[in-house]
Amino acid sequence: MRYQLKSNIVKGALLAALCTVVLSPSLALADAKGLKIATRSDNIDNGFRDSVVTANMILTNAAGRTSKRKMTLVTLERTSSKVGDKSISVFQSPKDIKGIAVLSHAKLKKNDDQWIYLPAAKRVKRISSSNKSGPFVGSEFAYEDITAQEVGKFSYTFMKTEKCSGGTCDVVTRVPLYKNSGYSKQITWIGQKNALVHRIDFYNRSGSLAKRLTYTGYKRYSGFYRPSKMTMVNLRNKKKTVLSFSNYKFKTGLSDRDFRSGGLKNLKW
Amino acid sequence: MTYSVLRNFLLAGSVLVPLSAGAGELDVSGYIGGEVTVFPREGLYADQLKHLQAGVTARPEISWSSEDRNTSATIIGFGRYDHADEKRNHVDLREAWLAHDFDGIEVLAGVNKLFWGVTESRHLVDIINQSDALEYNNRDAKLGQAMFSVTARQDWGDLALIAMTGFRELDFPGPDGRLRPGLTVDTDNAVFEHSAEHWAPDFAVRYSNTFGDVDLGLSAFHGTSREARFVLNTGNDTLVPYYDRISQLGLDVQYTADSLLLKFEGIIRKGHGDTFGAVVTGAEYTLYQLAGTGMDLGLIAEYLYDGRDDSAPITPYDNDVFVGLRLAMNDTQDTSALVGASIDLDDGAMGVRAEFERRIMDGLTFEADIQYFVNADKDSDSYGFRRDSYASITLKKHF
Repeated sequence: MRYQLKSNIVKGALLAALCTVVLSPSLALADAKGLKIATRSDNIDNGFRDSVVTANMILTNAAGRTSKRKMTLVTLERTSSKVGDKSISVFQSPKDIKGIAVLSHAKLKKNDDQWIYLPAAKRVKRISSSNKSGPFVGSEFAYEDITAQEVGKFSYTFMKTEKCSGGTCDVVTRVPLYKNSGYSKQITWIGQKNALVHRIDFYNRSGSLAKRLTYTGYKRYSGFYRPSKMTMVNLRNKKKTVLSFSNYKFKTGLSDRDFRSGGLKNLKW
Repeated sequence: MTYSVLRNFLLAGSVLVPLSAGAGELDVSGYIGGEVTVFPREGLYADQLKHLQAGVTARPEISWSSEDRNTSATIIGFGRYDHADEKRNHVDLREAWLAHDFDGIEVLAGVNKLFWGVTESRHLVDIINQSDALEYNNRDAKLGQAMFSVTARQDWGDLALIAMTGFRELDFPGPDGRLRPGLTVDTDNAVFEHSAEHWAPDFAVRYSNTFGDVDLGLSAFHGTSREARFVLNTGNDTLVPYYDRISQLGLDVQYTADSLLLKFEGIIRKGHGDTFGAVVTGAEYTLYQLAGTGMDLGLIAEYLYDGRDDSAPITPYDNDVFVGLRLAMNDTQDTSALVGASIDLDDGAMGVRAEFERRIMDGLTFEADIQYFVNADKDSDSYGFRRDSYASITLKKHF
């Protein structure tokens, strides 16, 4: 076990070093513009402080059979660009997993700090989050697709401008800086007008197009745009997950104290 | 049993009042379960049920929180009807409490359940609640404990101060039941070291916090031991439980390094014979997305040591190793399985346990469990259970 740990750290360090050497020269040239577009898109969201929203998830398998999940997603904005947001996802259904909650303290380039609350045993358990690329509750979303998309998580390259569902979009390629990411790159379509993300194409580690995420039904809530629907289609196995959001609430007065692992025992969502 | 239930309801009385106050959110949930357990071998004792044990369980839960989320209340009940062992028919008030958050200081009164600790094979520092020993197929089943607690959740950590009374005694399957001691336990005549018996006050303190990759908990307990010593009565035909007063210090630590979790729990306990220490320590390593699938496989290994002497309650965990595999399919039915073995390093006796769980449709889950005793020889802790290996299946309807 101890050997395993060491070799992992060493491997990580090597990878990180490799990335810096190979990627940075091209990036330095590449892209002030890509970064600028991504930064603008991220900044329009600044100041929401906290949000609470109900998320309904419909999972469809290749044969067309569906199953459903319902969650409450609670997010705390952290104003520093060096740290990620804090979030709690509480399951409401299926009923047998009702009350299970996952608390995340997101990190930009490292594993998040993550705890799970198991209501049957009333146990809070710190869990490994090195599986950011793994499926989120059996859906087509990976953990890293669900968590906040801070600017500092990627490097950017501007590609082109083209028509999209949101009017005219800037197309920007972003490469995850997180070493355990399941993706080699993501291509994003960002609306020129509102700087909102309309589509993301995900390329797996071997470089082929694997999934497509589309954002639809943007609405403005207390000054902040949120999609009412996110549709993730797995282009390889035809499975699909639709996330639809309702009851958005902002600035509900939450603080860091509401996102401590000890508090998971007595959640009121 | 009736006595303790009644007592809990009386204690809960004060909790129920605010529910009628109206505003806020009321939520009702829970499950009703049916189960069948098969014992391939007949028991050691003539009275015991032979092969089949069927039962029905229910666990209703009502929770409420005020509009501003600062006041909340929960009531959870549990009940079992057993077709073969009358003694296993029981109801318990698992929780019935009212809590209010005074800006980061939570005050709670009522019957509650707490969980402390990090390890998998033994919950060593977890001392607040008595085990529900009638629920032998669910080690997490605990009896509700009446308490008053104040918990500060601050930037410097969580600090909980807990005062308890209304001691819950261990209970055991009846003469007809399996997985019971050879002699009847005379639970009506338990002996307590403290003259106030059930009403002796117990106290506990716990500090917990996260320091980067380290999660740490420090706890202290002074009160009536949740573990009983058993003494033969004068007629040599029943066992009388003795509950000593103890003091215990506990430490639990987990270090999270990517896919590897390193865990430690240790206690020092005074009051059961000589002061002794006990430890559970080990690791859990998870192989994510096994062989390119969405499945995760966790490998668990833990070592257990307990230094208590013969005048303390018996423990099977004196010098043991636990190894286990946990599989999560990450499919839409949340299929999961666990296989584990506890091995006694002194005599080679082994308890093997396998668990499987899957949602078969919305609101309906299927569970299968196997408990198998290996090398339960004359001197081993599981000798009395050597014919009690079993397999059980459970269906639960969740609402």
